[in-house]
Amino acid sequence: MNQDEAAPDLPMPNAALDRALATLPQEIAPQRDLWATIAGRLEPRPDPTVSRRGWLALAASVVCVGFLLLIVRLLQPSAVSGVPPGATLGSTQSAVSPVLDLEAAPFGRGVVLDAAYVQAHRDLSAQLRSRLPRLPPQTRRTVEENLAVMRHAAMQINTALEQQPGDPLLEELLLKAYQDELTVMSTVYELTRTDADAVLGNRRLEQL
Amino acid sequence: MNKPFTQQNTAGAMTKKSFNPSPSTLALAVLLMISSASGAGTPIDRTVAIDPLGTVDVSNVAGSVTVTGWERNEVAISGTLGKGVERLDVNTDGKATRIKVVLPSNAMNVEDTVLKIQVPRKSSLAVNTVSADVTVRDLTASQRLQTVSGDVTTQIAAEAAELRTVSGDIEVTGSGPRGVLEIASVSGDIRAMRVAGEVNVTNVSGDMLLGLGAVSRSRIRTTSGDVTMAAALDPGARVDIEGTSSDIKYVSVGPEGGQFDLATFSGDVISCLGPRAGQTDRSGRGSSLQFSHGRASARVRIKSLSGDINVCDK
Repeated sequence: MNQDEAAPDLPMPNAALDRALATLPQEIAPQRDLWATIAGRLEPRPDPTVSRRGWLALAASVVCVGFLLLIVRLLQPSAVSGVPPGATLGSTQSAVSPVLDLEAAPFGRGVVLDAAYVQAHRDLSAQLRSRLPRLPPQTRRTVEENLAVMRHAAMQINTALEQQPGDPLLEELLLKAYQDELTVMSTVYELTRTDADAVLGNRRLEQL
Repeated sequence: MNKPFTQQNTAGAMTKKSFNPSPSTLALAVLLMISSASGAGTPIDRTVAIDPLGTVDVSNVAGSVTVTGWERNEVAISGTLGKGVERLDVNTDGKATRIKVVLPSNAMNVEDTVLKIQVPRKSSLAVNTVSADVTVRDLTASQRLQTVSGDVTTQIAAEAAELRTVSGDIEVTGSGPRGVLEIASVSGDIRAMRVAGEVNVTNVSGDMLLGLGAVSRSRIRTTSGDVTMAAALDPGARVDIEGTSSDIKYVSVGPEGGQFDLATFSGDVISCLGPRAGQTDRSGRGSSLQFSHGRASARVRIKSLSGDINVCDK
């Protein structure tokens, strides 16, 4: 008796399943080319004109640790003023700092950032500060302005969270804002390392 | 090492009868001639046999890097070495080839270097620059292109590609097959067309224009840059787009459509698909909308703090 026919509701034996899977196409092409449709629905726009494994691993680990440590203790209100204990925080009143401010922004009123996350952020900030002077002035300004934009965004979300505490959309956006900030800092740090290596000709960097 | 470069004097022919300069004019002319000759840089002409399936790693500071795939099992480098550059290193070790513009220590006033490189079509490529623009075409393997302020323009195949800039713009064109594309910039504008598979883009203030076909997974993150995206989704695909003050426009293409989950805290949700958006805030600010369109086995989530969300199929 064919086992497959006798028990149609049971999972297929592995061999039969493999045979069935083998008959499936590896890739299903669309019945028609959708690209023309895609391109046609985008508004026209003027055309704008492997190594380092050790550092990459380090940078990736810092970001990963940062993500993992970005755990908010929603049920643990800060002692008095909403400022996390142990965290060096900038003023929530100053939206965009005129000088580079890489310190962690708070996560809403009565919410504390994990101390280990704050430490990871602080470490990455210090590393980035040491690299920024090696950038061309205009690029450095761009980095500073954009980090200020990200910090300002976090402040905006925080302000909204104060108006609507516990709003899941706002909490999600703020969590992503912190992740994005770490990612950008890590990206800039790595790219400025290339700059330092090339412009300064510092061969010792290659040994790191 | 490759330092056999000689300056070429391009004085040209002058007729004696009409040219009778004063000593000071002559001195100035000579100075200009020297300056012009040295400023033109030093021609590069190197060809090295390499593994056709190896990796090519290119490093240049300023100027440009253009990499083109070809059918030969060798790398050919032409272009111009900028004034003040120490040398051009070309090293091959097994499958790895490294091409590096080496500057002297404490280099000042180094001029741009133009690198035109042809590599085997199936080579994996890594390029690192500071302000040099990067252009890549006709390669079929993976790419990792990084620059601080240069622009990146590339064609990608089905392999993985990672493109990163601080302020440079990024333009990438796919060829249709699915791959994995990672793009990260801080302030550069990003344009990705005809890319399929997994596409992840992060930006802070630059704008994005994305035309994606056969998307299986896509995560788009921005802070203040605007996003315009048209996508045909695979069944079961997942798309997440998030911004803070960004305006986000999504155009659904093809039969898959999706289960849409749209929300903005203080902006507007506008959709020509599904029902009308409802307000999420007692004060009248913000709106959200959930609906299904097409086959709807895919999921599309778009979230923003204060930007507008616009979804349509045309």
